[in-house]
Amino acid sequence: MPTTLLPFPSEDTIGLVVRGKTSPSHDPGALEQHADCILADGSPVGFFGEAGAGSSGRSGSGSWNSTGMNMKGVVYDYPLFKIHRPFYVGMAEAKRYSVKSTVLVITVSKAQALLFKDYWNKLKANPGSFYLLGHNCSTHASDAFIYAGIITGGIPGLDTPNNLYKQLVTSFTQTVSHSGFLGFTPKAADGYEVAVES
Amino acid sequence: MFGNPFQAKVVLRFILLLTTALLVGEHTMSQSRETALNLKWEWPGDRTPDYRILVRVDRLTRPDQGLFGWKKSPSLASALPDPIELTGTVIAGQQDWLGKTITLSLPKLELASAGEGDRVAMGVLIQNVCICIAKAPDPLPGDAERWLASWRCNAS
Repeated sequence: MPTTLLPFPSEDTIGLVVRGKTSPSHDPGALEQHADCILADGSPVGFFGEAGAGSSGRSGSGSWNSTGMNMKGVVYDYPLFKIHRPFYVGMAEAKRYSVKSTVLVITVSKAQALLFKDYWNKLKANPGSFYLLGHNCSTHASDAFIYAGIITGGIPGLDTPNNLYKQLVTSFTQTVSHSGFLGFTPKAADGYEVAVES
Repeated sequence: MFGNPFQAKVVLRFILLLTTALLVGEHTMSQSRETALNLKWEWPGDRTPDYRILVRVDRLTRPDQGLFGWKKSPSLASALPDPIELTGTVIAGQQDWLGKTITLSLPKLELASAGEGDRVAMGVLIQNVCICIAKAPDPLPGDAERWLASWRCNAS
């Protein structure tokens, strides 16, 4: 199977990864998809919800938490992906677990790429709450694009990774999609090499 | 509310029965919570286990996936691909765990061919996180403790 090396690390390229989307035309089910992003240096980053109340002081947060609402938000970087989602960052593990992704590679300005990274750094320091509906992985991925001035509006319709993907594809001409098993390899210097095997 | 005293008596009996059932159920659950050691599954990353245990697999069940399967969402940190719930008994390794019941939810893929009645080796971190698992050979080549010490936690 052909392996494509994506243009990372760079200074003006970022990416959206839709997990569970097997091809650009595939529409995965709402509970079969997840959104991550790729920073300009090729590093993967994504927002997840974990057990525990996301914000204190709200009455009944425990019961909401048991239905995917007001959970504790957490940002995964490469080391955290390796222990919680190795099949999202390692190609061999992606194949072993049959996890395919679609990567949307977007060319932006260097300033936008830096702002995109800045958003994720700030979110990592203060991740806040996670709600399965409306304040989830794709909401934060979308916010990162808005913060960087890459898009101006939120996701049309439900906040799902695939809806964000469709919004970005229709908003830009400088995008390329790659689908298959995705792998990130740390480079000796800074950054990551990103490859997709279709 | 109840015009008929018989109706009131029936409702009262029902409430008493329900309360008793709930209290007994809660007591049983708290007892099982006390004895079971709940391990959490994570992949090793670059970590190596702090200790190894040999566990007899007593029961394998499918975990509850929540209403409409919401717990399966890959955006939830706790969601595991094709998860299975393992309940077992520690039979060798960590001395103060011997005889204890453990529970572990893990991807079925990691369990490979191990089934109920089989013995599995687990590599565990001090935070009660299991990072590797493998079916033990049957019979074990020699002493269980010695075999465990030589077992390679082939963490992916």
